[in-house]
Amino acid sequence: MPARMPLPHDFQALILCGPGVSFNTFTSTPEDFPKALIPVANRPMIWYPLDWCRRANITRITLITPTTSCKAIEDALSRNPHLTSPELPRPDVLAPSGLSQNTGTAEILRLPDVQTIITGHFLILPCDLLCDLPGERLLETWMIHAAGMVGSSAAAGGLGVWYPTKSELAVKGEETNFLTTAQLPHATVPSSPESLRPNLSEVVYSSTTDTLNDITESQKSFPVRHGLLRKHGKIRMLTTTRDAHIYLFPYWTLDFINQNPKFDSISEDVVGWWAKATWQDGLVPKLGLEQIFNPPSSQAKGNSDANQSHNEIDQDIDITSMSTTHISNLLTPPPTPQSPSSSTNTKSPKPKTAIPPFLCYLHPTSSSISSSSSSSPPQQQTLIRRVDTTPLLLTLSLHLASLASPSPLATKQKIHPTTTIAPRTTISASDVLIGANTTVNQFTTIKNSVVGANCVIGPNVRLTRCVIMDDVEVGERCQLTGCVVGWRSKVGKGCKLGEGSEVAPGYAVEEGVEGAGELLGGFEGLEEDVGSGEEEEEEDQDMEGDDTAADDA
Amino acid sequence: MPPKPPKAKAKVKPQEEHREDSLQAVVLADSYETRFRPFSLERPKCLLPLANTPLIEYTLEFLAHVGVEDIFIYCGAHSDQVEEYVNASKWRLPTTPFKNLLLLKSDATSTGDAMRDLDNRDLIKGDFLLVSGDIVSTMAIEPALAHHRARRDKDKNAIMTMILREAGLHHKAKFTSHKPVFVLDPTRDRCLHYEEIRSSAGQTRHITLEPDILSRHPEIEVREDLIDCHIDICTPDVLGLWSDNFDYQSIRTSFLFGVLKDYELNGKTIHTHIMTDGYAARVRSLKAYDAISKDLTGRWTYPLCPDSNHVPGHHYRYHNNGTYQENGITTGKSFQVKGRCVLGQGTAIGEGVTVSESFLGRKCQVGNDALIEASYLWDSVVVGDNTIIRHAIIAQGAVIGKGCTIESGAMISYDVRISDNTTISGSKKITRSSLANNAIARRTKPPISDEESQNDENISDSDDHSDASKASDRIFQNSQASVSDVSVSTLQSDESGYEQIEDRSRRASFVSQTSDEAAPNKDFHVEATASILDGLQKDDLPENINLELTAFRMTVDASQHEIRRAVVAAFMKRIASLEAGGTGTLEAVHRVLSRYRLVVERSLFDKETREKPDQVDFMLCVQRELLSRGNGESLLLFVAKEAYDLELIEEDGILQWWPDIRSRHGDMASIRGLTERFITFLQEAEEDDDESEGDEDDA
Repeated sequence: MPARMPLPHDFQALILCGPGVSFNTFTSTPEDFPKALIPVANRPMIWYPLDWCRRANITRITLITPTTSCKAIEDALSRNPHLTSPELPRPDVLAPSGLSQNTGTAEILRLPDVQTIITGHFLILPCDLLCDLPGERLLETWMIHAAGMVGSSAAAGGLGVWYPTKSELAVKGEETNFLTTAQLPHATVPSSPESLRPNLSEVVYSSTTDTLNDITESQKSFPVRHGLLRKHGKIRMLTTTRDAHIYLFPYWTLDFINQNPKFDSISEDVVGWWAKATWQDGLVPKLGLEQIFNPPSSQAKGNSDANQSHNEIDQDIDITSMSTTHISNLLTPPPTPQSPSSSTNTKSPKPKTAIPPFLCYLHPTSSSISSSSSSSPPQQQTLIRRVDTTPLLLTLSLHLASLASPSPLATKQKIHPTTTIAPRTTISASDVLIGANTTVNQFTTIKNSVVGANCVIGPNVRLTRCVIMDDVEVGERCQLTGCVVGWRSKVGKGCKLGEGSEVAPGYAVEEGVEGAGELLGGFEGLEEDVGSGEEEEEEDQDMEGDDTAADDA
Repeated sequence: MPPKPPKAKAKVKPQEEHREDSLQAVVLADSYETRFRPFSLERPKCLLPLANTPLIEYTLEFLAHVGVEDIFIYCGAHSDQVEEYVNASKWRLPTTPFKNLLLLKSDATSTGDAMRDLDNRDLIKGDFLLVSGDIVSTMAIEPALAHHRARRDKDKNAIMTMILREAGLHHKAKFTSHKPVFVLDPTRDRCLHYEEIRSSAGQTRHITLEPDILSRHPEIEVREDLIDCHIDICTPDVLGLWSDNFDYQSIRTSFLFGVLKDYELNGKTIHTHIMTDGYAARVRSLKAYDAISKDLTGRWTYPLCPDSNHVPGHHYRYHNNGTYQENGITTGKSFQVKGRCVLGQGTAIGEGVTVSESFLGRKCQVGNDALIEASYLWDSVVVGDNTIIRHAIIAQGAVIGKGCTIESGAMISYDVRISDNTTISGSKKITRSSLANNAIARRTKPPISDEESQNDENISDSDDHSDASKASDRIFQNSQASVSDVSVSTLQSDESGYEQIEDRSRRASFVSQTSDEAAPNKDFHVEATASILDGLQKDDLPENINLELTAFRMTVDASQHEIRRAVVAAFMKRIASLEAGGTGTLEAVHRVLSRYRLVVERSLFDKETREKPDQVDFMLCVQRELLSRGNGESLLLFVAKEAYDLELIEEDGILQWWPDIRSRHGDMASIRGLTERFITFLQEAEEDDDESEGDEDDA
């Protein structure tokens, strides 16, 4: 294993705890239960990015949340057993005054509260990220390829992560981004086998697939500028990838965002325009990049923060010149001095501002991995996904439940020791998670499911591919398949809920309800519907069940 | 169980046999372009020397290298010279690697015509390699061939595999005026879209991708970094497609573009194989000529280097000073050679001469104190004392006087004599050929130097009439100044050849009619046909189709003739597809024509007049469209009759069309047979009418 590079000790991560618009079944009350605390495989969502930071040795973490959700998150951080674990870094929680539930992501970075806490290069993470790609490798890649180690000593570039949505965990209707990338120049030296270099490319265009559809609908075609092709001979267009919302930004990005008050979202505006500006020359002055890279006078420099100039000191070292590995630049044609046409051309825009690239790490699909390195042992496919819709929550929770121990995302004790399990139950231990203090009654079958803490699963119940959150009661003879049942809800006796059903938190489903693909007790319905269902008593409280699960083969 | 194995074998065998077939290749020796003028006026392009070896040798060497056994060489202009050369070459010796080497002569004036001609000759048995006669390549095509065969066995519709070479953005041999852009599906190696970036001004600054391409393929690549040297592996179906689409002219811009566009219609797919090693380039322009020559001496093309001496009688040797020399070279005192040069046998170089980065053919004579820099002197060129030549091409037998200066980019053709103390400016092309008079006045030739070619209008082969005035004063003949021996009116006999060359650069298949059409409308036909056909298939209202067509016509400023051609092409395709779907021919003709009679009516404007040029034109289009159909003869009858019955075409229209020279001439006559009776019937009816009319008049 190659020696790890030392990480800059002040590298800071901002985790954006958004509202979770497409999660509305579970995020209707952001004051009590913000999206960041929704359990994913029995752990609050925010645990995953925090744990990722822990693994990457990033200790300066700030959670940015709307004021409304601030208290709930702070409470959880001090009380939730997962979040209070001693090895997990303690994040600061910042609730900037101007931040509401629907502030754009770029908008957030423009808030003065946020700007003051950013002191150097920074990392942006979403709160709904599941990622077992080692973060330090990502940081390393960024430092080598974007932050001035390779190429000129110009300002640092950025790095983002995209992943394919059409992999084995495909979920219908997942949001996708439209990404266009260009090949990086061939590597000077062969990269090490675990390097991310083969999957690295330069972003030249980024937007959402919806925007793309708007364009193709209004223009009946998608135009690609010749200028882009002149700059990059080979571009790839991907329509089914998704932006993981992991961004490594150099400090100057803040200036860039400040210069362009119209930027609303990071993925579409900041990255999109940045990527475009790398090849579309006219955009550089328009986006105010000229001032950032070539400040017209010393007076402009005075405007920028003292922090920045402090930061610039270590940036200005030209590491390339110290490298012993050089590549001769064969590709650029030699200048032809006698040509009259070229001299007229070069006259005007000579002092062109070179915009550092925004790089893209495109997570490979398992199929492409196996084809490229068939010789290597069957390694666990690393996972990068975002959880922002209920179907994704279901799929990914179940996937996490089936993960085995080497994966950092796997749960060590799949069935919590405090669980009470009655005899003659069938629980497939390899892909079922059961939380603390939950009771499972006899003749119940649980397959490939996640059951939260303090739940009571009645007798003769059949759970297949379900996510049952905390404090849920499932009545006897229920058959639940492919459901997500919110916390503190109740499912009456003999219910049959099929694929795609959701039960809203706190809702009580009446006895004998049958259906599939429905939302029971959504926030649009009557607010509190609790009284209507008959209170099910926890009847069979046999406490003498085996501690371990009775497996089926 | 003994009977079983033989059975299985029998099943496998035909396929295997198919594979065992020797690989055939079709070489298009003429590119049907005019980029090599003035040199190509007198000699075929494929015989122009590249590093003192005729161009076609490189192509044949490549084919021998990849194991082709049957070769068909399609000659265009100057086919007698090509024939003479090939017959005398080593490829006719008993040691030749080729089983068959056949020269095909045709009067084709475009690649498309050549392909259709090839289809008619029925020579191609299986998959074949289609290459142009100007490639320099050391690529191994076996992997591509294997992929192609695997694909074709799986899917009959995978008709073609293009072999492309990946290159950097700034590769020298790249063709700069038309940069090809391939849109690919890398997961299936399929080509989805093809476009060329033309750098001339006024063109659009985008390439346009159909929404379908993006929505159907999760990953696509848009690549401009590929060298396309037109090496295609084709199935015989390809020829059929050329024949079905009579208007396809060039391989890439019309055939490839058209087939990809018609994917919905005929489901044919075209694939690519991208190579990352081996050398590949096509001598497509003089700029490429320059670049490839340097690659040859720089040994990038190994084993195709001057000292490989592929041509019998060549014995170049690589010298320490970086030059390739044959024996028998005499040099004067203080002769300096710089950079990589090639010097042919019998060349005599005087004292104090400096030659750098240049190519001198055999028996050249260079006078004292001359300077030759980055230039190409073909065989038997004489250069006088103190002459300076920079970045120029000087063809065989030319004589440059003393003290001349040939500036960068000049081209001096065969046997031209330049008098002493003359300065030839960079943009001049001098030839003795009378053909040049007119031809060159129409378009400018590319100077070879890199810097000049950036200025891409020079290389453009499109008819740019606005250039004519500018060009004409660059023409040597017009400026008169310093020619000592330019004969203007020899070679009268070639006058007809000249006609042909002129036509070639246009879309020449319908010489009589289309010659006036402007180049920008080139794609109108393909697109209009596609759009009408689309409407027909979706069973749109005729009004809608008409509206769309009119709008399209306005934007492109197409002529009514083009409209009619497109309408006819679309209708005939629709009829063919109905037929294929099981509808009877007569029924199909009736269904299409009666439902959409409006569309036809709106393209004819001669109902009231006595002369019916539009109706005649319509029928001519029909006739031409049906030429390539199997049942063209009967279809023509059905269409004529149906159009007559529907009163789309009046009696006069039909009767004026029938005797028209264009309808009776050449191929067109071949499908007239069945319709003859119908016409006779009409003529008789006409006579009756006349009589009755006469009667009425009398009354």
